[in-house]
Amino acid sequence: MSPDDRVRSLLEEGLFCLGLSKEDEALDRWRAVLEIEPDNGRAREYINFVLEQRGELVVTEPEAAAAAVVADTPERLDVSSGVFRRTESGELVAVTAQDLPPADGAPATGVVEPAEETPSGPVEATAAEAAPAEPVEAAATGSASTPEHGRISGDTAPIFLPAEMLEDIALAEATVSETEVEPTAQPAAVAPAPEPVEELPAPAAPPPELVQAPAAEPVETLPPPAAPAMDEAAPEENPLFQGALDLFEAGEYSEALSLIERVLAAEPDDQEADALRERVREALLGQYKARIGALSETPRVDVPDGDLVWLNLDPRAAFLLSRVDGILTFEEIIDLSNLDAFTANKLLHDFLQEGLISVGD
Amino acid sequence: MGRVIGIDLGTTNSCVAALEQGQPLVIPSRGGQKIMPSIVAFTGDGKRLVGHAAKRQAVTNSMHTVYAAKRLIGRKFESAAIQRMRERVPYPIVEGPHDDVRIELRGQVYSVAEISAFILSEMRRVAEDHFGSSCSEAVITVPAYFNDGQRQATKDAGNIAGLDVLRIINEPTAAVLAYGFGKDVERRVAVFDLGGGTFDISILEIGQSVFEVVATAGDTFLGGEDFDLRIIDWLVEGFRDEHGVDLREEPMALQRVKEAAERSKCELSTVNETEIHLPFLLGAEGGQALHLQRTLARAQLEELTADLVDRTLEIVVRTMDEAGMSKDHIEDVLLVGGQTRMPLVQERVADHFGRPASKGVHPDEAVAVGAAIHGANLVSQTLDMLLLDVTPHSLGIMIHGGYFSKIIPKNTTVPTSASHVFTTVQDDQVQVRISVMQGESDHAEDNELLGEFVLGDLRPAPRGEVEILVNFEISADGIVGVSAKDLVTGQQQSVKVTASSGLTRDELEEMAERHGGADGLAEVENPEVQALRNQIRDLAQQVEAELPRVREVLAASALGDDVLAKSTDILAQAGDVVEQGDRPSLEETRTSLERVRSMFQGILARG
Repeated sequence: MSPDDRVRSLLEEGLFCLGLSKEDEALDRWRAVLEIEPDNGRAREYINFVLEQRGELVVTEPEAAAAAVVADTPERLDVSSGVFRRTESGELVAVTAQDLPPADGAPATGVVEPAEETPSGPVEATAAEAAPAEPVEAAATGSASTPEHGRISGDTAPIFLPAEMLEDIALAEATVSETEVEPTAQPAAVAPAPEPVEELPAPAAPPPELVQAPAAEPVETLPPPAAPAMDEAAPEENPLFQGALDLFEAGEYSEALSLIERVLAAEPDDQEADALRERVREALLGQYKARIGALSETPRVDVPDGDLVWLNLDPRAAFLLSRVDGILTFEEIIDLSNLDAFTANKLLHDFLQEGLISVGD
Repeated sequence: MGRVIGIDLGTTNSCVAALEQGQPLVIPSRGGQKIMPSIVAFTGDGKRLVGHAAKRQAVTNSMHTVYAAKRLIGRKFESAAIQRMRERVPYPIVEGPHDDVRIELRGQVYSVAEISAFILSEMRRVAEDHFGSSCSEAVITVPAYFNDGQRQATKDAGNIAGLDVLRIINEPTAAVLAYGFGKDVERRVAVFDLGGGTFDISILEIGQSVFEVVATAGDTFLGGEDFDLRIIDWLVEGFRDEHGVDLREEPMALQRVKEAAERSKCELSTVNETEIHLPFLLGAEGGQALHLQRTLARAQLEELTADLVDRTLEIVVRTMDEAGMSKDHIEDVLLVGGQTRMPLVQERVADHFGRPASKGVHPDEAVAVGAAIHGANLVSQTLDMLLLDVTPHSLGIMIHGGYFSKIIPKNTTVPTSASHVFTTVQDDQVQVRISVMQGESDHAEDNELLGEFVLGDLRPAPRGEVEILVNFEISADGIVGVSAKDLVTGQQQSVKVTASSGLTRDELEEMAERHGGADGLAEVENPEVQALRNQIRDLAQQVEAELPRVREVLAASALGDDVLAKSTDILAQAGDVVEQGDRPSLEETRTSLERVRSMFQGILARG
């Protein structure tokens, strides 16, 4: 297996584990990815997300945060700031105070990657709202196209900003908002990475809210961000959402569903996550139906009555299993189950997979 | 004339039979079941379930599951029986436009006859699947006590299901037909019919191929389900004592308990003890599942249900007393209905009649078999049988004070007639209202009104002086004729009471059309229609294959484009019709295609 394949496999395995709530095992997989590719952005995002969820990631303590991310690879990183950037050679290094933009400087956009290429000329900037605890996402200056929010590419490292830095950015942004700015003449050189840089909130912070401004147009004023835009962007910021999407695209529907359910548990109104869940469920339903086969078939139970007690069944599953009587067809069982089609098909699929029921002689 | 099926349309279960090579055959469903629950349900997405599938979700979808429709059929909405049912069933019973009964399911209102038609359609389908041919003629059974309206409504249900109902016969008569089939028996028998929802006792005389019901009575709210309920209560209470949870509030759990109760009851007919085991019945706090595990002994079941058996025997005693018979008059006892498999029932019946019950008929199948025998006789006349029925209820008129005066007592063999003289109750009374009723209560309001008419132009006279002769006649077809005549002036008025199910002719036709069409789509297709579709496909294929050559020939002829256009139109139409068309359109399309094919053959022969 090539290193790339190994990395991909470990990333997916980690997501499977996370889907099964085996967070430690997930972390092990992703840390193993960092052993192979220390700058693997996805692994870092996933790790940070889990740690954050567990309250183990303290962003105001940069050292601790960084140490948590790369617990087993501390020697490779300068963890002085807790904020990371990629060098020209692609290496991930911690952002130091010197790398940060000046509080009164135009480029104070929250975009700090790479620090040494921070534009000095006129920039277009976005900024977070005044509340320092809220995350800030900024479009890369001079980028020809608006990057897709939250789609964390594999080579984009997440950046965590200490609260005091966010305050600095807020100050800078206030300055910028009153300044007419011009597009940069050399956007590519100034901001080579079109991907957005995301900042996740501190563990106790409210759900992340993002602010984005058009990347290639001058900004005269920076109005307060529109709520819908923030809502749309919010789910994509979630590494779990991205993980679910990755798994869905890889055809790993069960695991994708597991992850997306977690996203929706935290954000029940997340429309994008809801839409993804529907797609995943549709794909899964297709798989279940394929396994079940002809609905006109009549299944029967293969487990003796007395052994059923040894199964770990949910009462709904037990009810559905009790409908399998050698007389009713799959179609009739689904119809009379009083369960939604997805659940009924899933349970029947699971019964078949586990050998509890069968069809034919 | 094709094969006639016999259908036992029961309160709880139904059964279909036919004569196959001269022998009765109970027709099993695809799943091998010979009886089908008389239950109809509509699922959340509007799908109709009938029979076993409907039963297995009856508790979890109780608002949209109709059972015991037979208790509703042909009754007036305001009747006591309907008001009682409204209190007992979870599905909504609403008033129809003609004081009839309707049921609202998933936003759609159905007549009771329609609901029964769904069951009859399923029975018909089972028979057609079995024989591979159309079964459109039927004999359907009803309880002996059914009145004219109930019989007519049952017949209407058959019509809605696309059946030509050749005859409605009494269930005990059918059972006795099955009992006497192929034998030369002359005796008086008691039919003890304890089904799932009702109990009936009938005394019949068989002699010289004449089957006569001499007495009948019953309880429409006493049956096997009451026995099940006793077990359910026992299980639910035990579970509550053990876990502090009321299973009645958990539909999925209660559905399983109900099924387990019925299963255990059946098992206890052959074994002395049975285990009731329902794992993972309920979820509890902490993710722990609760299981139900009990042991039920036959003796315990008998204790739980002894009073129900007592009630059946009380009705038997009363009926025989009313008929002026003692148990010595009974030469054989037939047990009909699934609940008669219970050993306690068999013992008590044997004790009462002083003889063990006959083993000559199958309790679940006898009625359907008897109906099939009668149906076969109707079309072939090979069996020499005469069925004589009795009036199941007394007939009479309402008199002064709101009382009911019986003119023809119940259990009178039909055809029959009877008269009675009444007088006026007021001075100078010049007209009287004759309200024809049936029932057993002395109070007219408790009985069923069959019809009314007014006899006028009476001569003015002091009360009590004008005498009016009221005459009742019941024909062999069950039609009741009532006349009233002033004995002095000869002035006369009469009325014919014809049965009404509560549905108008237009409604019936509309329902028959609607459900006939729906059935064609939703259910397994009639083999004849399927053959028709296949013929059309074959014809279309032949025509299509010949089309290029015909086009070549026609290109050089005067027939030209019109023929080709017409032919391709018919082909296109055939494509639509073959997928979705009904029988008439299929037949029409087949004819068109045959014409096109003939024409093509002619063109090619000339070309």
